[in-house]
Amino acid sequence: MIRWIFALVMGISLSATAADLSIVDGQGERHIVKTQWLMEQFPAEPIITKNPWAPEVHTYEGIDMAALLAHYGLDQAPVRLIALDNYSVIMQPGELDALRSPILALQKDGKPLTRRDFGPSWLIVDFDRFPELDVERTRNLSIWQLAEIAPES
Amino acid sequence: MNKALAGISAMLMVFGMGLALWTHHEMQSRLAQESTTMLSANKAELYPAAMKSELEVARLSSNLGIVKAQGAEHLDELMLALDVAFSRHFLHSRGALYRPLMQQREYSTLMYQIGRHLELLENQIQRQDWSQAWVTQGDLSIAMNEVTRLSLAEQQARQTANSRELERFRKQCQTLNIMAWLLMISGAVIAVVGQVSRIRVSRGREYDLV
Repeated sequence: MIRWIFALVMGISLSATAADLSIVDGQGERHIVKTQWLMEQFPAEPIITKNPWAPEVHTYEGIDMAALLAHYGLDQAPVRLIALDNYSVIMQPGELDALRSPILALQKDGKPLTRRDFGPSWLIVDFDRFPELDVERTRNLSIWQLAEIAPES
Repeated sequence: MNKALAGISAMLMVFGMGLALWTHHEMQSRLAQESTTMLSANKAELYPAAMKSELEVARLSSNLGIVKAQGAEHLDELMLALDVAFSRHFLHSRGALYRPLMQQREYSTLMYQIGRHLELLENQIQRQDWSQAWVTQGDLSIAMNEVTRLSLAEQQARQTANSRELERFRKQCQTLNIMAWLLMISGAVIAVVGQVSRIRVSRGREYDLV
């Protein structure tokens, strides 16, 4: 019986894509939102590119990052992006514009990004279109396995 | 002064000045390139990325220990750590940054071993074979430690090669700079000699330009 419960928990764990994103808005209120809902609310143009971590060309679809930050009142202040593996990076106001409309990708070639494939959400920059962006700072900002967005105080 | 001599003098000085400016510009752009290009940035990213992976494997080990001791209630954390470890493995084996390393037999063998260890570990977790899982995570930690060592060695090798290349370029620029100065000085000397040769001192100690 215990084995069956364990297998069930294991199955749920394996299938989970942790598709929730924690967002602390400009007023300090925390929202736990489904990334799929965010994708419907803030759709973005797909980005077809390769990048230093996935050297083949793929089509990434997801959320318009600028619209998302503006909606939660985070577009005029520094924000901290935190990943599932505790990696975090602070994005200064204006840096998002410098990244030329990056998206918070949820899908790669039409399939949801899994945690093993740097998902469930990954900040994707169009490196093929803007090769000049392929510098260390952009790579630091291209956070994968994103779990939380919060204002940096 | 002879017109031809004046022409040669002016040409030497202009050419020398141009060469000096070009050398300076080349050196500056090379230094700027060093600090901003993907290539130089990559060199600094290899080792920290490997350290981070080692840390994630350590986190996986901790979570495995917790599940082993306390049961399935902490399975979510363990599975998250396993997924992160898989993603780190894919980063090291597929990332553009690691392509030169993947050409090395030792590194590519390690990547294959890490992939096998991870698959085995996942299988053992599914079977709740904690004692074997514990052995596998030990093997995985050792392999990941080797990745860090190789990444550090590669990073140092690239940095050394880059420093040597930069030094060679700096010396070339220095030589060109010396040549530029010599050209300018030669031009100036020719101009001065040309002017001096036009002076004729008369017996009455009067100086006339001829």
